Amino acid sequence: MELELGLGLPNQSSSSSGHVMVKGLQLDLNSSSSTTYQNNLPRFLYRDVCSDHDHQEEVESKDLSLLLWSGQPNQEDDDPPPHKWTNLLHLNDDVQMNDDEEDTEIVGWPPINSVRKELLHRNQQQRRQRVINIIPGARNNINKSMYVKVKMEGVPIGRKIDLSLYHSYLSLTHAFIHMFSKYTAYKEENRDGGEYRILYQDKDGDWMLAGDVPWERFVESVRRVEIILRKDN
Amino acid sequence: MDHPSEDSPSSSDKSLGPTNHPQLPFPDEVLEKVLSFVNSHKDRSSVSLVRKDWYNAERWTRSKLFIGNCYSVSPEIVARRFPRIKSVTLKGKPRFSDFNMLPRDWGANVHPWLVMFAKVYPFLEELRLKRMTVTDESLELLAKSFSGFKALSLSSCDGFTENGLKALASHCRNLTELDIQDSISEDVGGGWLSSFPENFSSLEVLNFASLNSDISFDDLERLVSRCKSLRVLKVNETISLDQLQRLLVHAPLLTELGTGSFMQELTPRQYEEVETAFSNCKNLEALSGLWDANSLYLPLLYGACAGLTFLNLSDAPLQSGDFANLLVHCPNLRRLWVIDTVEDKGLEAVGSSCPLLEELRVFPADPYDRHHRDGVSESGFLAVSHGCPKLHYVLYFCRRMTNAAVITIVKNCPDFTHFRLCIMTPGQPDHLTNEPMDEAFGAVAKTCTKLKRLSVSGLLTDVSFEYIGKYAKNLETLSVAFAGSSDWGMQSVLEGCPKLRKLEIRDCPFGNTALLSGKLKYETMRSLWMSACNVTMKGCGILAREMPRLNVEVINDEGSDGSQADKVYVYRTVAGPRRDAPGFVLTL
Repeated sequence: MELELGLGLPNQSSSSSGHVMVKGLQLDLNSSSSTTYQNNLPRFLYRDVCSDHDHQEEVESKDLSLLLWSGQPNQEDDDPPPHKWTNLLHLNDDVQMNDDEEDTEIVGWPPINSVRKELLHRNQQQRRQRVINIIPGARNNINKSMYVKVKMEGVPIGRKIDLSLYHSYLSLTHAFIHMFSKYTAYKEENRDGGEYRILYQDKDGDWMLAGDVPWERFVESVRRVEIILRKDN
Repeated sequence: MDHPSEDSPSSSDKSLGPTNHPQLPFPDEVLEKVLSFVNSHKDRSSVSLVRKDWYNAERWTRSKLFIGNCYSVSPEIVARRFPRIKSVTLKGKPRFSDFNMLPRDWGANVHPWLVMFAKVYPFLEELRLKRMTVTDESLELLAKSFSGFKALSLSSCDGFTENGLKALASHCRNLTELDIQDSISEDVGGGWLSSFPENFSSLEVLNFASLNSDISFDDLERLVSRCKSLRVLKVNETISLDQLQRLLVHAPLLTELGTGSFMQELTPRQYEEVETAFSNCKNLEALSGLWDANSLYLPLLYGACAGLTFLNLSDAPLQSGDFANLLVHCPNLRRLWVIDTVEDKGLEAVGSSCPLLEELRVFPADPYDRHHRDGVSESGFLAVSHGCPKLHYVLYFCRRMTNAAVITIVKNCPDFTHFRLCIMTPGQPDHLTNEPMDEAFGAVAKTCTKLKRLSVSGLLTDVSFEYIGKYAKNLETLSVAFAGSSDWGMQSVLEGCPKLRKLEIRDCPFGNTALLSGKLKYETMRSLWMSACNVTMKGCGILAREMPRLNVEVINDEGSDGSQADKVYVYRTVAGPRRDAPGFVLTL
């Protein structure tokens, strides 16, 4: 089952801790002492290079799918150009690695040149910093809490989340996955290319696809959220 | 100097000179002239051991210095022996430092070398450093001490910032080469590029692909247009496609190109311009960079690929379809580096499109198996071996492999000189038969008589090492991890491989008996690395005592009990124990 959010399946082999393994997300980047493993991933891990979706017509790589559902980048003038959006996707450092996964990693193995890895990590951090500087408020947390209702198709009980706790679509999406993981895990049989989409109702009452507008604007206008499953690809 | 010999070679006849020796009537000048054609440092080493006058002729005519382990000799000894050096290659840290296995500040600082070179080799032109620490102070010293300095190459080095590079750019009027690979720099800006003077135009090689900060594109464009002899240009990721196009217009004669970011929204006109620019690169032999390359923009490259012999896609995770389409345009490829996102299907395309292929490296997109991707397997490797009979260098990261596949692969390609197979799960058996991978590597050792470098992986018993010791008679470098059953494994290799120079071992059950069995051999080798094995401080102490011409260095992990030797680095040296060893390095 794919979530068409550039994110991955809940870890089916793990316990019901609800931990999800997230494709294309930056994981724990805390640099550690030399004796523990440095989880510095090569930059290209941030792209969701799905082999089962060989969309020739898709211009951008998959990790933009979070924001560019229809495949067309939002062309509004005041938006930063698409490749800067890519970088925004890497802003999420809320995602922490599951302890289990950290424990299974061995220092210096596999023997990949960590000089390059660390470099790419630094590269990515610097670009992240640049993006933050370009997009004012990209890191600001909204101080007052903002609860919105979230309903997932097929799930009887709706949830509420506090939007002020998140600063990007990515962190929000991750929260959703976490929240609904035990329901989506049962939907193996839907593995015919069905994908989840995040819709929201804005302050005008219109239903929109999440991701088309900058995060700040989304937060200002969202009133409720619904997650639906689209069967066609 | 392959083997650091003393000032008076022991094997020469000290008392006879050319005038006394009837068999050698020709004078020194002739000898020196002849020797000027001898370039390989190994040959020169041999020459120097013949007799004393040959030793002297050799030392006076040697202009290129190669030091494979900076601690095997000291700057003073080198300066005394070789008076006329123009080019130096220096290598520092053991290779496992690339994988975070050495603490920071371990050493290999180039500064004491530069201080000596500044005194003794004012005509130094070239410096090539690998795995060394290079500070700004050193770069400044370099920039100011050698007026004719031409070429600097830094590979996997660290310790410098943009200030050091600025000094280099401002002072080296005759610089032809600045090649920075895989090196970490702490720089915050790319201002160094703007430090080349306005009339500076001698650059032939510029590689700053691994320096990730913004540079002034205008200054880069002006620099490229001034340097008419530029043949190698590798820019960093901050350079966009349309910027690249402008650079290519100034430098159509490039033989090696490293692009910047390959993802950008191009207008149709820009697309055409970039396409034209690539088509005009008629001399391109090597291509790299290509960050974020995707199906829409890869075709831009096609016009430049006809003569391509080296394609480095290790920064561009491609799918098999895009990859196969690109390969169709690259029939002359000899060397190919890819990421395993191309999967076995992509490697099949390699087998069918690249008949001249000699080297293949497949890097993992997901080395820590966080996303459970397939990557490549034995069938991809098999497909390449069927289609590429000239294959002799492979570096292959995979999650599964079989003995049968490897046996077939080396039957198809018996000329392997470098066979580096990394099955990423430690101790993993043949995934079809569940047996150890002994027969696979046995076949490699038996069939590939020219094998010089071998990295083994997967579940391996001592049997594999018996094979290696018995058959791998040309083996020079061996890397072992999570393998072997007893000391006998390591002993087999030490006893059996006459040309062994570098042995690096981690997480294997080899102990003091194995370590000590090779004590004499280590003097014929460059170095031995053993970490997380069963070697103890006592065993290392015995080795150190019995072999005074070896440095036996131990680094123990924090919280270790002090009896085990966690990381052991043994190397021959004529310079005695390190004088610059940090506290955590114990020299026994």
